[in-house]
Amino acid sequence: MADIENKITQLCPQAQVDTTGEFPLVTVDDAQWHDLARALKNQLHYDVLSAVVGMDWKEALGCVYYLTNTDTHELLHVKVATTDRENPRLHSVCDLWPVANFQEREVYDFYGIVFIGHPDMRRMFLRTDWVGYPLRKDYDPASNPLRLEDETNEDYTCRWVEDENGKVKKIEGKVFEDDEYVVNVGPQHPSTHGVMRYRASLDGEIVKKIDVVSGYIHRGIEKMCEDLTYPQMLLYTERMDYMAAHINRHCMCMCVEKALGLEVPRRAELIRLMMDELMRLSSHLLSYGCLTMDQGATTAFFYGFRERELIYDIFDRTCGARMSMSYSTIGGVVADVHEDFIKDVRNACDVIEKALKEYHKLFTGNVIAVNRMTGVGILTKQDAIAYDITGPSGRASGWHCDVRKTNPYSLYNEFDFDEIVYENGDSMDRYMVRMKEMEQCIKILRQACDKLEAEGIQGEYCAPKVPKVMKLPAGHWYQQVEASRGAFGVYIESDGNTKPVRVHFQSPCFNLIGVVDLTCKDNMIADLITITASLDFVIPDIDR
Amino acid sequence: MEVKIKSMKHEDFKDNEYIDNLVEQLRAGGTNIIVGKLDQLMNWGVSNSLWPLCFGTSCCAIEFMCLGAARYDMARYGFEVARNSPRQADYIMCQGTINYRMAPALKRLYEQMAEPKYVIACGSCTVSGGRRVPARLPAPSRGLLLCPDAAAAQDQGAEVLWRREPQGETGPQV
Repeated sequence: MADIENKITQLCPQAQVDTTGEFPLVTVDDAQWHDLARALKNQLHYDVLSAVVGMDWKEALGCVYYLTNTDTHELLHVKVATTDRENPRLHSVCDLWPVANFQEREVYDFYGIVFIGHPDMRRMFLRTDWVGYPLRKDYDPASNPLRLEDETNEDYTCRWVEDENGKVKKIEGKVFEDDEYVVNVGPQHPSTHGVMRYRASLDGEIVKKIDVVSGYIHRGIEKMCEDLTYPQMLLYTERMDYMAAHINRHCMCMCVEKALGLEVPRRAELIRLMMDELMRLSSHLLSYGCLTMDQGATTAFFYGFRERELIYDIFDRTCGARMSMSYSTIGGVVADVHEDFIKDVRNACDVIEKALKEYHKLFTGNVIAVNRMTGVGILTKQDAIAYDITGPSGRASGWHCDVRKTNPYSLYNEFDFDEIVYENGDSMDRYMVRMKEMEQCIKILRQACDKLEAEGIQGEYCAPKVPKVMKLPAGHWYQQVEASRGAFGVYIESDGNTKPVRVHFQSPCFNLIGVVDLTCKDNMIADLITITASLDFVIPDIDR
Repeated sequence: MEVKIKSMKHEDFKDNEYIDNLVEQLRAGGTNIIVGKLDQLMNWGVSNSLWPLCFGTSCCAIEFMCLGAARYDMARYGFEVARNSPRQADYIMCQGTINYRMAPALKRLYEQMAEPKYVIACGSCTVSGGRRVPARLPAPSRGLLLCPDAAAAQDQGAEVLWRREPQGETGPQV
């Protein structure tokens, strides 16, 4: 800790380093921020920009950047602020970490902070004619009534550049050139896996550029959370990536528990872990079903969904719901598992293990699958790190990024399982990582069944008595877990009241749309569907 | 006996007695025949081939996929042909939140559909999310409580539509 403090003060003497929190906190002025960022990346190997959290501290606007070191997997966060509320400006780090492109656009959309040097400063989620910046504390919700007329296409973009004298100038530009042939895909389109819209510039059948238009399911969950108590907030975590409902909720619970210093009973933690793995299994099965269906293999879809029903039955019996189970709670789980839980899980493991072989026979070696996926939509390891593509898609590119291994949480370090890593980073590898990961899920679940049996008596108490209204101490916390599509992070900032000041969800899928343009470029337009299906994003997780 | 529709005069079609006689003759000759209004036949056909529009915005869409898969099997109502174009679809099963950006798109999709058209509102986001959706058929009452709307509840909603459609009834516009 002291080591990092010295290193950073050497790099930037003006920066203040605070090592008392969970992660080292660096506070720096905007003028030194870009240089410090470059030094952190190049000299201290903070290669990954894990999260950008826009903030309104009332007296100042700004951002908190979470950086991860790829060698040691340590986290560090940097706070940059500006007191100018009329024309807030910060320097962009888009050139260092390309993932910041969309992240900074999100901050601009919600807080109105302009990033100097950002190549494409447009709104990300809200309508083009939206008035004001909704996550600012002085925003008036009545300023945007429901408009039923269609919005206009966003053909123009702009960027702010700084000259040698420090004068900032706005430069207008176009998203597409006049002679480009632009095809619209979505927002209502079955193969976009939700309400997502692409504007693709084509040269014949070859994709030249894709402009992602998002926000058709943006519900403002972060804004809503600012008006809710901590137990109420849990409900929304499940509605983002609904295919990782349990994992997201687990993450939020862990973040609040960390802030409160609560200890979770071992049995409850074990049950949570099992639910997480069942969720991952169900998510990958869905991914298999959708990917195959997008390539015309409708039968394979039915096979995938047949096995998912087994997992849903387990959820239904224990939690009373098939999806969005609302099962974890702060301090433990709501109730103990169903009495046949272990038997059901063992049965599901056996069935799915057999079914996986069948899936491979049905689809993996198929000539259509091989031709459409091998060597298509390649994402290199370098790009995966630069764009912070975690989860199965990142591991298909050869990046060891499984949070369960790098920063073990819950009880994962007691379990014996492999991190599946492939090398090529094409659609086929992304598909294969998911298929192999299912085998690992089964391996973890079998071990967990044994542990749960040895653990204690059925019906033993699983949650300590936690008050319904809780106050977190003043401060901020960040927690990451490995969700089914990558590293999912929760940021909570509290001022000591029952409601948080700011909640931010760092969703893995939001980063995934950042590489759609990169992976689809110079491929056929038909491959857009296969590539996005293999990236496997969930739209409500992008929009939040 | 040989009957040629072409040989029937225009007035004869309106003459019930003539048609009854004709039916009796045909039955006596061993031909099975049913007489009804063409509307009834149309309604029967439409009600057994109501095609939904693929319109899943969030979680309920996954349950809709389960509805299409083997266990819930909406093909038993003839509903399995999920269409990608609103012009070929008979109803929208609106699964998930409709926000300010999506609202004009949903309105346009609804307007592009051919009559008779229906909207099923699924799950608590669509039913009570505070947005106005031209829902002609409310989802089953269980759907109000469920988030997301379980496949079984969606199934029930589809069945309500299936039973209601042959009578040509339309629910109240909400």
